[in-house]
Amino acid sequence: MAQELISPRQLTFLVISFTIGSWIVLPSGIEAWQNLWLLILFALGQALGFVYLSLFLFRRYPGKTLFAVHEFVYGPVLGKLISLLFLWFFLQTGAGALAVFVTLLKTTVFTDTPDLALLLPWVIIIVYGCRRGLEVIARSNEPLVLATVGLILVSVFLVLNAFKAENLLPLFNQSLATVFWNTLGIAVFPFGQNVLFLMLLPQVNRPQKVRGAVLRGMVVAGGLLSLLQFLAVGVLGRTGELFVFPTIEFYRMIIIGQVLTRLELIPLLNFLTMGFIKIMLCLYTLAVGTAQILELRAYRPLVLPLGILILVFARQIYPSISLHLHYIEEVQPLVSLFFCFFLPMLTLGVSFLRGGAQQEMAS
Amino acid sequence: MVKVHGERRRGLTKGLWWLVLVFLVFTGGCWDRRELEKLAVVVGIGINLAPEGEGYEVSYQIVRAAQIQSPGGSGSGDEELRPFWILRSRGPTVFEAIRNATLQSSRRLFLSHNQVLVINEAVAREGLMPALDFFIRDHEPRLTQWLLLTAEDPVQIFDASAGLERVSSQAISDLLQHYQLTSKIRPVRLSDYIALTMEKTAANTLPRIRTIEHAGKKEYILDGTGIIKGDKLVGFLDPKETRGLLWVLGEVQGGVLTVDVPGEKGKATLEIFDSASKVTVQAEAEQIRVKIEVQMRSGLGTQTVYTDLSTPDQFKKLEQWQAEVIKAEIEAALAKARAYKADIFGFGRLLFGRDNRSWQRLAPDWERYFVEAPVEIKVKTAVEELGLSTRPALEL
Repeated sequence: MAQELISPRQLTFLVISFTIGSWIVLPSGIEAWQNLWLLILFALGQALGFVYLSLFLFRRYPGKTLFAVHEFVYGPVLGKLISLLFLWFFLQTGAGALAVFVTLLKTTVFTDTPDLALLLPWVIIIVYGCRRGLEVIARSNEPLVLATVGLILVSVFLVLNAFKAENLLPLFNQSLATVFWNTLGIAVFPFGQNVLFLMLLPQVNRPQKVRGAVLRGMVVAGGLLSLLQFLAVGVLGRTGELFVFPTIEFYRMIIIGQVLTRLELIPLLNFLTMGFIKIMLCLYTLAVGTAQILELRAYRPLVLPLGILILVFARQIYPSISLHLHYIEEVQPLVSLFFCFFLPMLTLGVSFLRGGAQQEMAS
Repeated sequence: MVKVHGERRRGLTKGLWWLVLVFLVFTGGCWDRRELEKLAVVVGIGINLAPEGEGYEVSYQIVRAAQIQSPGGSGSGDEELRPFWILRSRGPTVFEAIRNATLQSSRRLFLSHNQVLVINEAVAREGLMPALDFFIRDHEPRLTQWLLLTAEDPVQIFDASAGLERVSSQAISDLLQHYQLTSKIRPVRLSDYIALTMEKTAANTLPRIRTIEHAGKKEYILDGTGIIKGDKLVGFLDPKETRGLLWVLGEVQGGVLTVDVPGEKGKATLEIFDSASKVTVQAEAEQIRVKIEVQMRSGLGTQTVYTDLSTPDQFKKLEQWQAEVIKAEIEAALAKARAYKADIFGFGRLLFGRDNRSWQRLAPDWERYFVEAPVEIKVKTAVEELGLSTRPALEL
């Protein structure tokens, strides 16, 4: 497989869009809505710790993808099994974002359009992008990230007259259990998902800069999401808890001079661009990972079938938004914690133990 | 040969991709297109209980775009020339009623531009949320619609003359946004209503509208406020009491205020420039203590007495008199709120934000604490201007 290289800066941008992804419209931890913007910052700190630790895997085995590390550490059979688990995780993440895409468009803009008419063009473009390779994804991502960051920053000025500081109070009224659980929920989704990049890191042209690039991307994305939540709480107050897509609702509240309305297109646009990159990265990793497990030379033939698989899964595992919300609130934190923290740490631990044993044998 | 074959295949794939792209560009996005001439743009919705049986009767004011543009159509007169069409329909829920309207309307009702929701008081007495849920849940209506109460059939409001405007819903929306000219009504958006409903201890207020007969023509007037406690209409505030509420909320940004001049047969009217309020709620073991501080600035607008009210001494007295009026208005509103045990001032909201622990302790029995709370009212006013004349033309 020809190695396609991306620069650390492109990696940072990819991390930003992957993190913002679908979270921008369908946030986790909504139970703690009032303090969500603070929880994002806590969760960011927590997730930085997770990812920092996970990145030791790459330090220890530079030039190896996560799946290659698995095979090296656990042996070929067990390694492949664990890699398969991760494939499921990537598939589910991609399908989740795709499901949000359909639900969002169906409930807000295209109410009468059949699902497939929305999904098919979208998946075709994603498959097309994936076949072009990581380099192309990374390059097309750059202007999209700039546009998203620009739109979020412009929103600050748009909401000024609808913003009520009183809505931000009280700052801490949730029980500690709620705070911990929801912080965890945010730390693993969206931040923890960045474990996916362990598959792509060998394709960065300056490996020594990888860690800084990933962490910087997470900080920028976390800051933007926190800012957006801050504005949303200030505008919506507690009303925000009611809505499936609070960000959309928050932009709908903006009326400037009776003329500037219908601004829900801003978050839609942000989601369409960031979610696009997120689903594309999931599919790309899925294809590359499958190729590695099956020891194929090229991942490209796998992209289209896997794309169709994601499409089918999106309808199958998230049949309704009610279930999806329930999943995000109750199940996802644990599932994601398993993949984002527990498994990488296990691999790291086992590798240290085995590495120690090898050294003893060598001496 | 093999190479040529490969080239051709690559060309074919490329062609296919182009075809797909062209296909995507030209077929996407036409599914949910809505042409303006296929839509019935609703600007006002009225909700009433169905006259018999269960369910709601919903009425709509729909804009006739063609008549809006042509100068021929006037606000009243020939039915066909009016720039709007009033329609009503029934259903067990508001949503079904709205869908049933398409049995009469040739065009699909489009709710995104709805300005006002006029709700009959009978509906409000039974609870508003069952009727309002649709407007929160559906993607077309906005949370920025204005809510109003009326004792009459909402159709009467839509049917009344819109005065200088073409469509009454639009005119009502403008009226509400000019509330600060009198500060005798409190405009409430759907989003405000939901937000306050979600505060367990707070009570909502909604402005009332009614029709009046004037020279044989029907017109409407905003008059007073309804108190909504626990989602149900429980009582009313008159315009004076409404302003009492606005003083406490710091929402009086204009209007006029008339004081009696003691010892004389006459009055003085002062124009309010602006006001600000600061409310502090202090939680104690078994009660709350409320302190309301109001500051306002005004100028002498007119006087009906023959003595000169423009001297510095008189200004001091005017300040004192208007402070008394403001205090009386606040006390009147407070008395009503206590009578209905409805925390319309949002004292609970303040405690919720500033001292959440105490709020959680007191919230279950909030009604009692609210009614029994000692309230200290401090009003600081300043009369700053006297208009263009330095004294009345005739002094006696």
